[in-house]
Amino acid sequence: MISYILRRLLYLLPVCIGILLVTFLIKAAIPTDAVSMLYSGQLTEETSAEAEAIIRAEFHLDQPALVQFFYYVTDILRGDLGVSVRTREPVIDLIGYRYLNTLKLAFASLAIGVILGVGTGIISAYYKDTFFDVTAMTVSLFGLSMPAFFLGILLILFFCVELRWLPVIGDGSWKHLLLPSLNLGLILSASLARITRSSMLEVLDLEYIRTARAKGLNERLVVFKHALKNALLPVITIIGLQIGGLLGGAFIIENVFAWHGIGELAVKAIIWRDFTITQGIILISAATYVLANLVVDILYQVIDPRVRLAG
Amino acid sequence: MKAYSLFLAAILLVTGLAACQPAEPINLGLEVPEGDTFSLRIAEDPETLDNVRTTSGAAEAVMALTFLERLIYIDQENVIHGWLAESWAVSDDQREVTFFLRQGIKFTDGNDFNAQAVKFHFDRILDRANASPAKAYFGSLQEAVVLDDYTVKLVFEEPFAGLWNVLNYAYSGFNSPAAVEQWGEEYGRHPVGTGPFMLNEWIPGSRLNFVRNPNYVQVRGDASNPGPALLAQIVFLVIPEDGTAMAALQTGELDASVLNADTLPQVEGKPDFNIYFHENSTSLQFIEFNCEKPPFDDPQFRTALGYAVDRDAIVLASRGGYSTAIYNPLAPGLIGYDEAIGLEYGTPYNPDMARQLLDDLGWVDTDGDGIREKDGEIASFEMWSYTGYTYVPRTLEVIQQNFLDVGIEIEIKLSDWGAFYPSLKRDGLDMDLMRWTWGDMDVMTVLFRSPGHRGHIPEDAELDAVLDAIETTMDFEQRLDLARQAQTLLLGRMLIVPIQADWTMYALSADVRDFHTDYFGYLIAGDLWIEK
Amino acid sequence: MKTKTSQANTLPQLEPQTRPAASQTRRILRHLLRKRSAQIGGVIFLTLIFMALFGPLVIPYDPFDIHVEQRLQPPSLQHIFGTDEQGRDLFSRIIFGARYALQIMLITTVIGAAGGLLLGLPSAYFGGAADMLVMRLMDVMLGFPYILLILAIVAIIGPSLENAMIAIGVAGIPSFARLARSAILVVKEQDFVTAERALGGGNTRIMFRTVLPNILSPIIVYISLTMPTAVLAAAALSFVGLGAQPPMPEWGAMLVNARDFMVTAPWVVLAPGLTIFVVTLGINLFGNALRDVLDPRDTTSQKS
Repeated sequence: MISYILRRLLYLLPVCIGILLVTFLIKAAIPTDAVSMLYSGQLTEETSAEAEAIIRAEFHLDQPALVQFFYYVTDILRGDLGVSVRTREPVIDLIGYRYLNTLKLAFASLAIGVILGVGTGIISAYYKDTFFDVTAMTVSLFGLSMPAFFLGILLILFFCVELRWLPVIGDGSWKHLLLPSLNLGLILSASLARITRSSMLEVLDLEYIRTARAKGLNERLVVFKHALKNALLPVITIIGLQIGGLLGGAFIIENVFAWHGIGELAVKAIIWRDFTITQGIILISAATYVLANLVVDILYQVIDPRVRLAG
Repeated sequence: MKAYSLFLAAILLVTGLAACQPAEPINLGLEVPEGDTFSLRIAEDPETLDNVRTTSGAAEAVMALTFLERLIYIDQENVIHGWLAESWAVSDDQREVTFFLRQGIKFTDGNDFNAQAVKFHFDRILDRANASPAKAYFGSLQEAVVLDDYTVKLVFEEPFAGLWNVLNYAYSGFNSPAAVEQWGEEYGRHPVGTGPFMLNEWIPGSRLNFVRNPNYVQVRGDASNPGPALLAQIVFLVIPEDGTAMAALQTGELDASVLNADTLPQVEGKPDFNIYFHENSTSLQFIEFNCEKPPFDDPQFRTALGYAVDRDAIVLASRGGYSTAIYNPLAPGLIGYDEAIGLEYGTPYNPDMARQLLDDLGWVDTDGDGIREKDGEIASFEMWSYTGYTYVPRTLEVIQQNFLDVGIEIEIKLSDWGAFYPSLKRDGLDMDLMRWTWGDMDVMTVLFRSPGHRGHIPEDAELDAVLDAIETTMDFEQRLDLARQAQTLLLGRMLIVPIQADWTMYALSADVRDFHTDYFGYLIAGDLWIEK
Repeated sequence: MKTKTSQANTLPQLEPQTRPAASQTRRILRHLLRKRSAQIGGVIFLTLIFMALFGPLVIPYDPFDIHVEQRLQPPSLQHIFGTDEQGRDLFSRIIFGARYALQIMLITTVIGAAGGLLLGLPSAYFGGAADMLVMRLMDVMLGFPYILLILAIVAIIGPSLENAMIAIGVAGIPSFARLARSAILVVKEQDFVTAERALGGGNTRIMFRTVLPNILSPIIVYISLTMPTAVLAAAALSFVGLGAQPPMPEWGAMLVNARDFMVTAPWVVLAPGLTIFVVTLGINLFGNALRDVLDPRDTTSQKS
């Protein structure tokens, strides 16, 4: 187990280097940079050119690419994400609270999505081809086909404006969290329900489950202990993959619900060309994603020790 | 199943730890007075409240109406008045402006507002180490000199007429030097000024709470309340989406919000709401050209395009009617705007005139495909603009149809501002749709004095002389005259095709009273109150 | 980064095809057409194709013609979907926009699938260092939030519908590569592959003639599931103004740009919104039916 985790960690090394390299390349490839944007359209060219030069030097932009990359990597190794080009505030300060917000939203959506999705999937598989199954699977198709913010606007209009049950805006309380996580959770549950169902069906059809049933073991015990354990493997993989989308990818939902997470900031940073913020966000969400998938793989190991490392 | 929950808990913990140190909500622990709270929407969280470090609209929208006060203000009738300065004098060579400050004004930390505080502010802007984006706005400002405790002199290398405008923005407001020194780099989160409201709490990204300054004395003549603010608190809520802001207005979570033209009709005629228009716009949307590249180097060609544009249709299609069609090359809210010039020399919608002018120039549709040609060149061009605002594509779509009507084809090209703006100068694009907001007539100099802000306006001695004079003429009447000349000359050359000037629209909850703005659209927050 | 079992499990299972291709295809089609969801999905998809090909011939109005005086008119006999904020006929715009939706779906899929196969096929077939390298690269790409990756690519190459399609396609490569790889890992150990290798077949030939056809079914199923996501991703790009250029009636852009009319003129939002919804639903339905048919193990369990 320990050696598995260690080897698994070793695999992360090239991925981390790759992520560093790509974030750096993104900055290099974007035609205009934050500094010229900061001063674009200003009144006196000489004064803005002077200020531009100061900031360029501060961010080592006047150095060759290789030197810039060196500064970039050493800063990150020291745990320093730099300061925003636009506001010159430490990136960690700008990202920190937003990252917590995004995590809150991601976990709440994940919780709603998993409970709703996996639950529906199991029941659907158990009561296959019944009214519940057909309805649940049809509804989940709707979930897959709905543009996210469309659902968001409807949720706000219904729960906040019509029913007045929940606040439209807030500062991160659970009441504020409920609607955006419901929005993301519903969409997530749609795909999870379908995967859980088909995976459950597959497992229920396997030899040892049939044997268990034939032996007269308690039906519920068979389904929930033996079958579920195995059926959950692919579901966990999908959850691991979905975390990537929830981290930083939910900017539309964050915008619609005025939920201030990193996705919203990332979009602004890309448009401002503020490469330090962009890099910081991408790094932190990539790191979380990699970490989450590490945990997923370890979970696998725990559930099914036959799983071996490959590729 | 225990293993699952254990590992899920592990994910939570590890990622939580990885979240570094989240920015603590800022709480300055001020006493919250009894009274009403007014909540106002802002679309973006200000990045800092240090006005030397930012000139962004997001920060401006918060700072200008709360803790920062300036030397002068301009009222709704476009008249300049003293604010923290009682009066001022311009030296004979027009390079020095002396301000005589009002006495007895105190920063909210108890320190006196005086000449040292004024000098301190301009020193910070001029200090290279701060790389202040505000510096570029102050022309050739060299230094601020303290003459006595309440007299301070700004010294310029060249006479700088734009000063009367620049002094109104939030970056010309004064911070307590003691507070700046105490907090250093952190000052942007602990600002102290002289204004009617003081920052008390800031949850970054989400909301800013300001409380009433109990010792405030209002000296502005356009304000109705001379004492401390009537509201106990003013809360700025960050809401990026207009639809969400509208929902929050309906549920009473917001008292007022700037709304776009798409959302505003929702509150029109509703008894629970009032609408406040700031029509005195300092913004102008216009088409500009690469005036060095044929056929756009020909004023007659540009004039023909000017006649082709149906501005009334644009006003309706792009802004739902909440803007003003403009024929002058200057925003209507600005001192120096003269409507008569636009009526006389402008290009009102007249497609027949446009066709006639194009025919005269030799641009004729010979092959019957509806598009004109001249010397083998087809009248098909690119029109560039920027993304992020729905009114831009909508304006362009109408212009595209208008131009097609007179036989000119355009392809619309949008990219985000960061890619678009530099490419204007670099690539010399055919045409672009621009919008510029600025509070002074010297915007014409900034944009159109050769080679122009986008770098493709040929030298023009007559026009350049007038535009240069606008920058350096301190005399008010003389400057008005220059503004008229510049507008006439610009229209004669049709360097730009003016389109529209948009309004700022607020939806207010019906119980909000005395909501009014000044020349720049800044809300006079001390006057606000809520009727029970 | 993923384990063999985990990949194999997430993806549709496959069985090597041993029967001749023609009768196989016919069998699949027969099964497919018997399914209600395939019928509904197929009709929706065919309608989309019809609209894309012949739409301009049947639309009642010019989708670009602006009549400001008729802006925001509710649905009526004259304008069955109503008019938009420029007074353009929404029905005509929706029909005309079908071609862009189809383009987005096809082009992004071709880029994603071709890129994924070209990387995944040799990588899995040969294994070793190349495999390691390619898969780590895919992990790097997967590490970025999908939509942010697309945004960054568009910010680099400039906004337009073409570039949006390229970006969405490229962002889809890693999933395709992983999918292809895990499928190939199963197939390449099968008897008929080892047999062909023993007979001295060239690697390229085996890869493309023998292995590729045998992993097509999970790829096809996956394509049917990702196609609709491309339209939604294009809409997300329009949300930040980096999607289709005006006056192009691309559904995602129409939906996003009209979102503030939700209360005052809901038809402007609902027309593109419901259209995207129905088309996505149709393709999802079809994809699910396809999955059931192509995936023998799943099919048997469904029949029981």
